[in-house]
Amino acid sequence: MQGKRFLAYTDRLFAFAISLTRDHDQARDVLHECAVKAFAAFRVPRDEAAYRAWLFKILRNAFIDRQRKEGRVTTMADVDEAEAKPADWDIENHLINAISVKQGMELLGPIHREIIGLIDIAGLSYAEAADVLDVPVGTVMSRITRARHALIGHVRGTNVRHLSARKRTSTR
Amino acid sequence: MSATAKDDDQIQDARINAYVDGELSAAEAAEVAAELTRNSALANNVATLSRLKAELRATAEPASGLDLADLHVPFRRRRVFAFAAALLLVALVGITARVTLWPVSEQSQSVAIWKLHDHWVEQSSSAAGHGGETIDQDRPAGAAGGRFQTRFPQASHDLYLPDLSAARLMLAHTEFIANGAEAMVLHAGYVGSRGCRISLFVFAEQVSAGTDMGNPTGNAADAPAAPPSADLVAAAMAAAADAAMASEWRIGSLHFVALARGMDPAHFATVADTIRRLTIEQQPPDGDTEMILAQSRASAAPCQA
Repeated sequence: MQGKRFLAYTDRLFAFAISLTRDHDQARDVLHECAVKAFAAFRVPRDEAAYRAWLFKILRNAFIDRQRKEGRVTTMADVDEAEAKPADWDIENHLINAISVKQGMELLGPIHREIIGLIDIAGLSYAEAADVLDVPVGTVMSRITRARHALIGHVRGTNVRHLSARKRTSTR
Repeated sequence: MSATAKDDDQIQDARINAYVDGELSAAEAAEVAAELTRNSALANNVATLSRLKAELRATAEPASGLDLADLHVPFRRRRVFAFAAALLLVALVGITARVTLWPVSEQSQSVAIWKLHDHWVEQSSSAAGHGGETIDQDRPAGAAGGRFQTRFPQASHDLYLPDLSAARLMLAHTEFIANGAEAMVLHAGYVGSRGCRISLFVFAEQVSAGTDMGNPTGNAADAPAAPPSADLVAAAMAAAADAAMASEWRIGSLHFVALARGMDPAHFATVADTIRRLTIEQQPPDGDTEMILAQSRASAAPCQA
C-alpha cells in the first residue's frame, strides 16, 4: 500500500523540503503537494529505490512549481553559484556546530542547498541524487564538493561575524 | 596555481568527499584510508567533512505535527469525482452494470461455470504444486505492459481484462470455450499469492448458459436474493458450495460473472467491484484503485478454497 510506503519517507522528504524552502510552513505545503501527487499517480514504481527517488523528484518539482507560481525565478539548472577554492577545508572543527551549520545553510544558494539536502540531510546516494536531479553522477560528485566548500566558507564567515558582533557589543 | 594542479586538487577534493559519503569502491576506499595514515592534512580534511556531514544530518527535523490525515482528503475527493465520472459514463453510453454479491448456502449440484472454475483451480494448483508455471502460456498476446487486451469474438472491439496485480492476483489463464455453434465464452482466471482463485466469465447477451453450457441442473429459485435477470449466476450460485461467492454485471451486450470460493467476503466484494469498474472503463487501474486493492488484500484473511 502506498500510504505506508510514503509515510516511511515523510521525515526525509520534509528535511529535503526545508533545505529547499528554508521555511517550515512552506516545507509542509510542498510535502503535502508531493503526497497528493504521489497518491494520484497513475503508475507507482515498485522498486523501493526507484520509489524513493521518484518521491524526491515529485517534491522537487512541486517546489519549483510553487516558486514559479509565486513569481520567483528559481533556476535549478546546472549552474553553481560559487566557484570553490580547491582544498580549502581548513577550519577548526569546533567551529562546525549545529548553529553555525544551520546559519551557513541559510546563506547557501538553491543549487547548493538542494544537493546538500539530498545527500547529507535526506541521506540519498549519489546515484539516487543523480536520478532526482536528472544529471550524471559525476555532476553530483562535483556539486556536493562545491556545496560543502561553500558551506564551510559560510560557517567560517558566520563564526567571524559572531566574534566581531560580540566585540562590538562589549565595547558599548 | 596552474590549471593542472587546480584540476588535481578538485579531483582529490571530490575523492575525499566521496570517501566520506561511502561512495567509493572498496579498493578506492582502502587506497584513501592508507593515504590518510601518511597525510595528516588530508586526514584533517576528512575529519572536517565528517563533522560537517554529521552536523547537517542532525539538523534534519522530523515531519512531526504534519497532519497526515490531510493527505488523504484529495484522495477521497478524487474518488468521488471518479465515481461521478463513472456514473456519467454509464448514463452517456447506456451501459447497464449491476453487481450482486451474496454468500450461498450449501447446494449439492454443480453447474457449468463452477465446473470450469473448479477444474481450472485444480489444474492451476496442481501445476503450482509441481513447480509448474503459475502463469499459463495462453495469456492473450496483448497482455504485456499491464494492459490485458483480448479479442472477444462477439464484441466489436478488444476487451480489457483487468490488471489486479495490486491485490497480488495475477491473470494466469484465459480460455475461449465454445458455447454452441457460434458463441464463445471467455474464462479468465486470476491466481493469488495466498491461495485465492478468481474466475471471470464473459458471455454474449444472447447466450443462455443454462442450455448451452452443460445444462446446469441447479434451480435458480433456490438461490437467496437472486437478481431477476441473472439466470446464469442464479443457477451457478444455487449449485455452489459454502463460502462461494459471485458477482455479475452487464455492459452492453456482454454479461460478466466473477466468482470465487473461500475468499474473504469483503475482499471479494472489493475485487469484484474493481473488476466491474475496470471492465466498464476499459482502462488499467489507477493509483487509487491499486491502493484500494492492496489495502483490501492486506486486511483480508488468506483464501480457504
